[in-house]
Amino acid sequence: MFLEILLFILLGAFSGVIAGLLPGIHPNTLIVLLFGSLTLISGYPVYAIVSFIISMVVVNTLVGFIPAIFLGAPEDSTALSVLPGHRLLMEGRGLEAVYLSVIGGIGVVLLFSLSLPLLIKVLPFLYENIKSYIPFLLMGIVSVMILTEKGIQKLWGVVAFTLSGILGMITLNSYLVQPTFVFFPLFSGLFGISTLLLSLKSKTKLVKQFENFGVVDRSLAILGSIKGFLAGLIVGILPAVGSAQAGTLVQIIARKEDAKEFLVSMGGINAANTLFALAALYIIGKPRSGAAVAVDRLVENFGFNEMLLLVGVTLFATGLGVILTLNISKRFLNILGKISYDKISISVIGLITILTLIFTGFYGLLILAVSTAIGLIAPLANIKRSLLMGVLILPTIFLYFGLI
Amino acid sequence: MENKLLIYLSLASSVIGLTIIYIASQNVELNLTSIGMVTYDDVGKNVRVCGRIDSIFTSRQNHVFFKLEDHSGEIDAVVFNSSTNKLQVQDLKKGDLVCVSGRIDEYEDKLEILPQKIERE
Repeated sequence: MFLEILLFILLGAFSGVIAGLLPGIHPNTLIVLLFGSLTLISGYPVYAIVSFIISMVVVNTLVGFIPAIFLGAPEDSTALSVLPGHRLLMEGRGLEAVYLSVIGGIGVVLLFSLSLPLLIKVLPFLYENIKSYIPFLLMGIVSVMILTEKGIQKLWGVVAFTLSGILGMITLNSYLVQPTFVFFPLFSGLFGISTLLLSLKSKTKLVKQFENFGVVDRSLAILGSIKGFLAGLIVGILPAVGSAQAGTLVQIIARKEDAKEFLVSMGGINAANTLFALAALYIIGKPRSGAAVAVDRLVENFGFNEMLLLVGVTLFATGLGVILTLNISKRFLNILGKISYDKISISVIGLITILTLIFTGFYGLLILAVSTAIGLIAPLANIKRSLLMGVLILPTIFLYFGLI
Repeated sequence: MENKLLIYLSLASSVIGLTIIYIASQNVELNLTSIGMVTYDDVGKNVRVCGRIDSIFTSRQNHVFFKLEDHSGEIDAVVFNSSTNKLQVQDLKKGDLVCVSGRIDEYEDKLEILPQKIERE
């Protein structure tokens, strides 16, 4: 049993690397494919399959920072890391950006393991008491984000938030694109292609990347991890709140303009998302992520021991994911350094467009074009890019008020 | 190109694009699928199925459950209380012919559809 689980963790990590590096391949897509091939998995022990899924998701979230930061091709969970990551990349500190995200992941895994006994007592209380305040919390976050813009930029903030929100309301509740794939054109346009187009316009050149970036400030790592942990707590237990909304929350409480701390927190939120979703499955009996839904379907009685096993799998997969991410980042940067950044940008835009066409057809391309246009507004008006998270925040607020 | 011009171009493209997407989203209909053709591969996907309501009941929490059947099979449909008014399910009764568009979900090892649109035939 132990060896089987170990083998499946390694296989999961391999799949996580592939899904993490390829834009548009979300782990949920792989989980759906896995369940689609029931004959393929029916002969193996349930816990080995579940370990495969958890390992794949954990490694994918870590490796996913590589295309998000180096290429500007994010998933929904890494979208907010594009801009601060890109900024560091342009200063020759791309490797440091990935390193910071990874630190957040490890920090949160450690915090989670230490606080697990307390969480078991606290989570049900939090779940019952926070859920009715979520729409107000989100509205408060957005208001603060808009009001902290200067002068006319407040108006542009409202415009960017409203337009992205309307885009989310229309596309997430329509039959234009299958729900499994709709986030790909949305986030690639809002955060990816818009960033790459502006890089092309400004004739960006990838500066020489530092392989050694000194010691990361300890307080930065701890603070970022704690913020990621707390935001991840909200993501893990509440329905319809994802890494992106939690990241927006962190951006409010993060030190102003501190891209580094924000990257640590985003790494932490993604790790927390997996862990808290498992904890929520055991403690409040509700699956809160694609992986947790899969676990819920596969494991008949999800008790304390089952949760402990999967937390162990998460810890191990995180360690594995960290090593893989750091190694792949170095190789990735070496390759990037040999090609002109304009060529890379054009190739990535081409790749995203082709993948959008394959996965989502004509309507996906239309969504990609419109989300790119909306995505350009924030950097051109020099306002916070996270206001574009209206794409998820506005539909979430409407959902909580029962309006959609 | 000036940033100011670019931003207004982006704004114009966004508004025009959103209008086109909205119009398209109102007119796009899913292809009709036989109930028997819905499988576990479809979990998470949107489908459109048509059939006769075989049974229907409302829970104490006001969620509405009905079973839809056609020549090829049957599937449970669940309308949560937050959507019952919007979908006007109060008028539905056993024997009604309806087409349901919605997302396929799995609950307790059974497939079910979560309707987003219900058309009476």
